[in-house]
Amino acid sequence: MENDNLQNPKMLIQKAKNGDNEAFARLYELYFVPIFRYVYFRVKSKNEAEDLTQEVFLKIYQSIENFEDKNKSPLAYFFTIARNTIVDYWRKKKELSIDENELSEEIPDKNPSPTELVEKGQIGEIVKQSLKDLTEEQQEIIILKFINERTNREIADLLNKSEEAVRQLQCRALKALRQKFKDSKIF
Amino acid sequence: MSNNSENLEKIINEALNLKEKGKTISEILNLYPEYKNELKEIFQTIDILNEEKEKVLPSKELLVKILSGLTPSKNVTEKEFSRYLYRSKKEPDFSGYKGRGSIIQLLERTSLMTMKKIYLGIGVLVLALIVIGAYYLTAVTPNSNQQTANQASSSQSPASSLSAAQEAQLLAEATSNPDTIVNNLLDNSQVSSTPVESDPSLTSSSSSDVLDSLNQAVDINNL
Repeated sequence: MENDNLQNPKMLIQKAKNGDNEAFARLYELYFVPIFRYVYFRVKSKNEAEDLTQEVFLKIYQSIENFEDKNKSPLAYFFTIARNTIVDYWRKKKELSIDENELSEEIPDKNPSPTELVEKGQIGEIVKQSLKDLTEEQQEIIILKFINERTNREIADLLNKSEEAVRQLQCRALKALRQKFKDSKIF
Repeated sequence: MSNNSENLEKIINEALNLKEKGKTISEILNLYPEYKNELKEIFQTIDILNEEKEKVLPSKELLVKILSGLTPSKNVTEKEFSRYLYRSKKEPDFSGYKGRGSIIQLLERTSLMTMKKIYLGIGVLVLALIVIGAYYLTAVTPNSNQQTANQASSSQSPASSLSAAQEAQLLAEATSNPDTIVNNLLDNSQVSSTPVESDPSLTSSSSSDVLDSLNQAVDINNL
């Protein structure tokens, strides 16, 4: 019985809301990898992903009292906070990019081409670059579906969309990714 | 969007559904021979995503770092009590935080600064009250001192007047200067002229004593 409680996220989050730090720690362990992967594929570097993951968990820790169990899974709550954190991150980046664009006009782009990356065996970099070329919605759906292994129903709840809309976006995103991988000569 | 592209999206959707239902890739490819290559590439794309996903693992240090950030719950006996009544807990340390952490830090500090300002204001008010009180006391004290002095002189005992007369007499004997003696005695008698209502007998006796002293002084002078 006690073991079941330790595995049940809903029970854990209720305990965490009552100030049980052990339950908190257990939740962190459960969701640490999915949240990190979700963040990693949506930002530029591993360091930034680590910083943002830390920020996400800090926010969850500070706002756990606001969690309301209205047919929403704890993981959806964690993902919502991660998603908002990433939106904030990119908003800040865009503000800074005005200055960076001025500089980039003078400095030639030294990023390796996809073919060079394939030759070096850096498929991961191509995947990240290709994902970034998708629309924000497509990126999220691909990451949630194939990186975080969420069901279409869960993704639909998380993004406030219908399952049909999720399926459509997923197919379009996969088609676009396939084309990018093909252009990079991955297959 | 062309019909071919729409059809491909539809086929991809169906193929994914079949995959979720447990069909193998080769079974699915056989179901759609005209889209075989496209579907094969779609499944390869999904495989690459899965492979890359497995490679992405956060460092364990990060988990430890986050978990160590959780403050362990303490028993009441282990709790550190602040000696400041207005500060119920220690100031949190946000030095390790980035991004929004700095905003939280700023808000926290601003709140503390506001509290400090309130207490500073109260301090200034108390100080101002002390200064006003001191001013009031210094302004009132001279009058009250005067009153006290008057009261003291009015309540001066006849015995002291008498001793003054005796002193004057002794002085007269020593100096033989009647004017000085008379002046001194008159001064003393003026100071003690206020009657003491509480004991009139004492007042009358002191007056007669002064007069006797005066007479004696005049007699000495005549001699």
